[in-house]
Amino acid sequence: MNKTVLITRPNHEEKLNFLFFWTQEVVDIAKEKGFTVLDLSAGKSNKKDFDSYIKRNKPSFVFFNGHGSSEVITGHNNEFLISINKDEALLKNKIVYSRTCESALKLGPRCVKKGTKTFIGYISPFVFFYLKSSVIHPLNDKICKQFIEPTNMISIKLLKGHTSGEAHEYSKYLMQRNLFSMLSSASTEGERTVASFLWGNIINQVVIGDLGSRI
Amino acid sequence: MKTQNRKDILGNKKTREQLQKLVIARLSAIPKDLEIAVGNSKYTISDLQRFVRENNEIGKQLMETQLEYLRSMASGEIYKMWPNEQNSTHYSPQS
Repeated sequence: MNKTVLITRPNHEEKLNFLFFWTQEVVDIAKEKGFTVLDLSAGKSNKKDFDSYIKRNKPSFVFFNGHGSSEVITGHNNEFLISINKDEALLKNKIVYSRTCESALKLGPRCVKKGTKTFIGYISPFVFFYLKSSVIHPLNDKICKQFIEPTNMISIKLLKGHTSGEAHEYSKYLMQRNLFSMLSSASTEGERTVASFLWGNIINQVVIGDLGSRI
Repeated sequence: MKTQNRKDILGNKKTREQLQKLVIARLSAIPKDLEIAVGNSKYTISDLQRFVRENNEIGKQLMETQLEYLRSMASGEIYKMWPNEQNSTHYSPQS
């Protein structure tokens, strides 16, 4: 096992800045667990650095944050990091979690076909909400937390030695807990009105490939 | 299933127009202090309402998801998702 993980987290847009900050928890836990963390943050999440780091260090787990579509995953300034029918070899023998829109629709299955152990991602847009007032303190945003924190657990569970299937199921379980909390009478008006979008994330999160794989 | 839903619901003009009104109204209920993060552009709730009105690809996806959510609520399907922590093999905050 290669105890190296690679994380991309561009922050060239306000909403990506929320993912950027919330991903820090995963970076910290990976370091605590003794992993070498290739943290391609902000401008470093470009194609040149990504290719160089992944080829040289051969991480066992790759965690993408940012934008995507059914055929690409992007990094800083929406530069393509992984394109379908071109870059699948870069993800061979790795576990991938792509916290981007739609990348599990075509790209994920294609990567698994070409040798990626497991690909966890979304077959529709990954959606979250945040408070305008939280832009300078993203980690204090309680609405954003309901959406992002459970998905962080995919990476955290993997880093703690669980299988891809367990990590995927556990994050769904936490999203379901948050969903019912958001629908309860104790929730805020904002939580109730956006709960349906969290439900969308739950049903659109998929795991492709080997459910028993571990980092 | 999604494709079938789209064909059935979004293909029927009258039903689609009713669904458009419903989804636009649901989006109107979102408090103004909330921003949505979806897709590669900085969309606002007003943009999403316009997409639904225009019936473009994002609008269609949004209508599908909202329709499925409402159906799950109405049928009680959503409550079958209720996590049973005592029986859950995944619930282990320490590990």
